Amino acid sequence: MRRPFRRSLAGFSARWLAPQVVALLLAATSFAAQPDSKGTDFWLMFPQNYSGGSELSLFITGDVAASGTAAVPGIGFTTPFSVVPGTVTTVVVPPGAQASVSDVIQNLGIHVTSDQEVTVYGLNRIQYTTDAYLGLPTDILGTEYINQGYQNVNVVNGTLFGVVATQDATTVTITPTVTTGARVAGVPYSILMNQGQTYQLINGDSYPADLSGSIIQSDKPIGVFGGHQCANIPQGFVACDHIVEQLPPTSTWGTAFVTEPLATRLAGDTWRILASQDATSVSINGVPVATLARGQFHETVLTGASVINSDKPVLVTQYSNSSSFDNVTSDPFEVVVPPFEQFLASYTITTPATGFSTNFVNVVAPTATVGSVLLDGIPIPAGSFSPIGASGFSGAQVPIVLGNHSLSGPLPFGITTYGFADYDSYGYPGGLALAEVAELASLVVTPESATNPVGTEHCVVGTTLDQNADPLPGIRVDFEVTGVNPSSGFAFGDAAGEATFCYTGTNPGTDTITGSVGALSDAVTKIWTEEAPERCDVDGDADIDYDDVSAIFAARGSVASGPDDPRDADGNGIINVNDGRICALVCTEEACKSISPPPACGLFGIEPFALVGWAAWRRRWRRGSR
Amino acid sequence: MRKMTTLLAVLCGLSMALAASEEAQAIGIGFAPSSITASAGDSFFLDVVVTDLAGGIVSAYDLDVIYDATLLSATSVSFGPLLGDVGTFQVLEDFDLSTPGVVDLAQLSLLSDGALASLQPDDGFVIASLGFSVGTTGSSTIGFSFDAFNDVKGVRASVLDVVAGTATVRPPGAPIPEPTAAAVFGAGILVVSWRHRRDRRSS
Repeated sequence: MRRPFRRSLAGFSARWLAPQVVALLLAATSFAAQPDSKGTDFWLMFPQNYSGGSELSLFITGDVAASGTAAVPGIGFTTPFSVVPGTVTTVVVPPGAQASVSDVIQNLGIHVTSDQEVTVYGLNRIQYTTDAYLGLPTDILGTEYINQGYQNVNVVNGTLFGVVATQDATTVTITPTVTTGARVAGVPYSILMNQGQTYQLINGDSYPADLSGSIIQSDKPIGVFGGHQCANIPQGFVACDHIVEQLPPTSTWGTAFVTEPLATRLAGDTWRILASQDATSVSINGVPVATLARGQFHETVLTGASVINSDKPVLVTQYSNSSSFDNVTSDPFEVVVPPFEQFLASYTITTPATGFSTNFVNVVAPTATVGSVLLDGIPIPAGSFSPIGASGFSGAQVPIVLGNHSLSGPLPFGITTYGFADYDSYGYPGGLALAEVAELASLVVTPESATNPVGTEHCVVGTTLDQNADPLPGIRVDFEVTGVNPSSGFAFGDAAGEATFCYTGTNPGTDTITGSVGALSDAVTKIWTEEAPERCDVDGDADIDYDDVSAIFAARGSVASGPDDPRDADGNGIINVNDGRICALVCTEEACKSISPPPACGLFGIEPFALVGWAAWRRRWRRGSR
Repeated sequence: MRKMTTLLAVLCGLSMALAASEEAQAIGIGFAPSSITASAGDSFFLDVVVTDLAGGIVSAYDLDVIYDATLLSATSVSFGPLLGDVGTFQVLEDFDLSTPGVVDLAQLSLLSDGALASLQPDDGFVIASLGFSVGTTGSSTIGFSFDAFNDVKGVRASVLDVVAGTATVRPPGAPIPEPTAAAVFGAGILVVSWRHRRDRRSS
């Protein structure tokens, strides 16, 4: 959900994070707001599974107690629900809520509302053909999507996508990649939808028909689901399974990804990298593999953890291959892999309540945080992680038991939740940020240079702007400090697109502070200077006056409380009149705000009041001495 | 023997003078009068006097005056006005008579060095007047004790070197002796010891 923006003082480091900095960040990290997959309002749908009666479920979790309603207005279904933190609430949705026809608008939108932020997962289960998706809240939905599902391979042909409207009178324009019924490949067509209405397009043509790459645009925010009724992945390997994912809008796609293979699989997983812009160059593990046009994708099988980069935003999806691919207990599913600029620092996930006895969560985390990522409050052993090339990230395949689980780390990390059964599987991302990183045109870090004394906090601001120089809120900016005070951090941009990162330098010298979002970066310089502790301002009211000097005078003859004792002006460890006099000479006001003596009259250079006072005192003393 | 005593006195006096002349900023701090005749039941006042300012100033001080508590009692402290007027918050003042044998007195001026230079005569002035009463008739010496917490400050809060003097209290009728060799030697030791401590502290 897009929450009110607050600034974060702490930061994220994908690389090079020193343990002590992690500790610092743990203490300092605020719960920065960012658009993410949690929300209070969702419009969802269930695209069509293979055949037979689907068991449709919503799994709802939350960090705080929540209550709400799940409804399918088109079929008159409404049910209340409540969420207890740390548990998963299952809402069984009538089978009739599943989209059942192609190229027809239906009233099958599922509306989930809650009084507190929740995470919603949708599960469409038929034994041997199951998949789940992570529901995306209404407030982060967009108006442009490109479908990513899978192709028909002449076993079960049912490449598809689905659309749900969140507002009335929404015009949706679709450009299919393959001719599907009356819809001609490459020819846009428009449909008019009202809130809660759904639309799906299924292509049942023979191999290699694939609705992946179909462009779906709208004039109001919509939800889009990509998938296949029952996919065989990759082509040539049978044992189909339903696949479905709710797709993020193109504005949230990224350019940098780290991947972790699925547990138990012996021959790797299938991956697709889909471009949203023409001439998008893609590399895997540093090797260029494709230059893609808008709507094109590159498909490959990766056997190990990998690094995927592109020069323009892409959508990366991971597919569990058919069980015949390596003859292990498994089957296809599709899962969206977030770019690492969209990682979160905590997740609550769940497995289906039944049907899947083997469940995993894949974790990709900054290597510096290995050993500090918690699963249900217990650190995932560092030995579970393996470095992913030179990315600075490490990945782990972590078995989990049935039920809900929480994960958290000192820095943002990515997770994928999945499970296998006999010829069956499910998978979904555990959550992701959904800032419009694809719209980012510039990142400027300011101030360009600054000089501050050691022991003080210094802040820099990374401003994220789109191509029109308008601020892009909610984007996470990573900061890395090199030099005499190495440090790292991250901050999410506020409504003005300003992400603020602060740290305290303890060593004099020069630091370089680099802010980055994906491939964009900007660096500034910070000079830390030696400076003695603030002296004399004993009462800490930002001035030095009679009160301060009086306090020092009253404490004369005592030992300083420490090297920073403001009373110990000369820093010699004791407090005496010397300290008081030093401070009297630097009083903010003349004569320490005392009443200034009248100007000297020039008579022997002695002020009249002094002469009067001296004479009076002498007379007094002489009287007393007699 | 008398000649030998006189020679020792001259040598010690020279050593004291040499020690005092190492730094031009050394000032004298002593008592006036330096000799008081009093018997049991009498009261007297003793000025604490700064001398040899030579254009310098005293901007703050913290002094311990030591006396023989078996014979004397300290009864009062009155501060002079030449570090500023306490009534108009130009100076901070404090004294403590609670420890028998010790008068702790301190002033800290809030005036600028220039104002103090205008205020204070070059040749010296009285910084305070101490009141004593005599409990038991007898002879004793009143002097200064210096430690890390006792200083006399000059321009820019610099630490002034001090040549400290003493005062003597004796019963009526007691002869006023010439300075003996031992007395001169003792005074020399006092100054050298004080300067040694100051050098060690400043280093």
